[in-house]
Amino acid sequence: MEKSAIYINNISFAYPSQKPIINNVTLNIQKKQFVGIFGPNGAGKSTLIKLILGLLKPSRGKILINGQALENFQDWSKIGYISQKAASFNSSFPATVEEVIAAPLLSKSFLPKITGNIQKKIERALSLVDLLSYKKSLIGNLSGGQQQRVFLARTLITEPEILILDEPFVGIDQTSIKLIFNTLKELNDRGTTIIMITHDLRWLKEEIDLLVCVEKGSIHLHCPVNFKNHVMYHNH
Amino acid sequence: MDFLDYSFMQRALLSGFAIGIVCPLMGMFLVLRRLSMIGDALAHVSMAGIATGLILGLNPTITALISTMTASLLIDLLRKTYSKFAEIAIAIIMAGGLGIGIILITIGGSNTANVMSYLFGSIIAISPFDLFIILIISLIILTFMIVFYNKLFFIAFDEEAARLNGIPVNFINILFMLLTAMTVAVSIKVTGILLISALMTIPVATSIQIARSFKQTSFFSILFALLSVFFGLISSFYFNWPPGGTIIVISLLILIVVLFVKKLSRF
Ligand SMILES: Nc1ncnc2c1ncn2[C@@H]1O[C@H](COP(=O)(O)OP(=O)(O)O)[C@@H](O)[C@H]1O
Ligand SMILES: [Mg+2]
Repeated sequence: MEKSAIYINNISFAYPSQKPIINNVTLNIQKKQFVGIFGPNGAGKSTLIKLILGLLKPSRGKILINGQALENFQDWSKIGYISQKAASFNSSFPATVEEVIAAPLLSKSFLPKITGNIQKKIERALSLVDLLSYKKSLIGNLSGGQQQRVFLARTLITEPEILILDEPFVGIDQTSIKLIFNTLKELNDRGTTIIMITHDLRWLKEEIDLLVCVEKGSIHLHCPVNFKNHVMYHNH
Repeated sequence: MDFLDYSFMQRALLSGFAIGIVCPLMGMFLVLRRLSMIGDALAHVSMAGIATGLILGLNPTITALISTMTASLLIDLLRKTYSKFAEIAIAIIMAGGLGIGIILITIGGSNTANVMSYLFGSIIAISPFDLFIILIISLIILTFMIVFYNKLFFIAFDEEAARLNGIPVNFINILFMLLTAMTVAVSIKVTGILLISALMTIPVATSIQIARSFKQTSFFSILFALLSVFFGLISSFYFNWPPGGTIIVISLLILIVVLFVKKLSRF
């Protein structure tokens, strides 16, 4: 069997002085899968993602990324992440689209010089999200949907094998949603594992391999039945 | 250019040149991370350090350096305690530094009599040894900024993403706090305690109005700060006004001109 992209074994988590929000969750995400994470507000979807990314530490259980224990995993450039609040960043931040996208690569070096090689990568990432002509624009002058596409391009510049998106479609225009979704589909076809939290199941119907439904308390939520495969787990 | 004949004025201009570069550079990241109050808090804390130096007969720039660096580490600790209200940490440290400073100045009597020059800055108070410290510390700050510029940009724009990209965010944040403390301490002699944070923020606020990129923001911030410091020091020399005031008024004039020109160019 091929190694899992992400393997979560029986993890639990609670925020300080709060009831556990993640309870004995086990989940296996195979390489190249397109995974949807679905569930009501406050169910713990973002928390689950942050546990996978190591931004939060589970109180018990084990997480493996590419077969490696999370604590020992080093190659974070292989993991792309767009956080839920990405689109609500300080929009008066004086940086160009190009500067934002180059950040993951430039932050490895000293001078803020965009070399020919980096320039090529920027242009490739920007054309994937159809924003090539906005390279020199201030990021604050773009629409919400365009800004979300910039964040996608920023994660794509390191060519991640696993892409994790937390509600990327909230508050953005249909054109951008369609564009982002098509880009994700294309990446998935070429072998990228995609994990996406969304409320908007319309977009996922055809593409999805696995739907994870996160439940809140006693409210019962059923995954839509016409999905190929789904996993459910209960909180509290 | 007769002001150049005076060695105290040469020292003031050299010091001004150094802090005119490091203040806006550090200030830019403080402003963008919404931490500009830290500059002000550390400046108030430096009062306690300066008073201690004056009372004990030690170099006040050095004692200010010690007090601001200690305070910056305390702010960092407190910010973790009050993670939801980071500005409380800043307010607590500012109040503490100011309280201790006022008491020490009163106790100091004649030793602390010339505290005014520390509140508003002074062009005649910079000794050759002060200049030496200011230049060395500024060089350290500048080196840090060059080495960490790209990482600081990434952290300021998106701390979480920077962390995931393997940038040692906690380490850089603490280092950055210490360097902010150093920036404040070396600027006291020129701008005075009360107006240091203005030199760290106003040129940046002006720059953001017209910059078309982050690189331009850095460039214009330094340019506006240097212009303010240079003309501020010269007017201080001719009118015998404290340089802290003249530097900040000029930086505000630049802001007004920039806002005005920007408005005009819209039509
Ligand atoms: N940093 C935090 N500290 C304490 N509680 C939190 C924190 N973040 C989220 N929570 C709580 O945990 C629960 C799950 O949040 P989250 O994972 O963001 O839900 P979802 O993404 O499914 O909407 C919510 O009740 C939320 O209030
Ligand atoms: Mg969420």
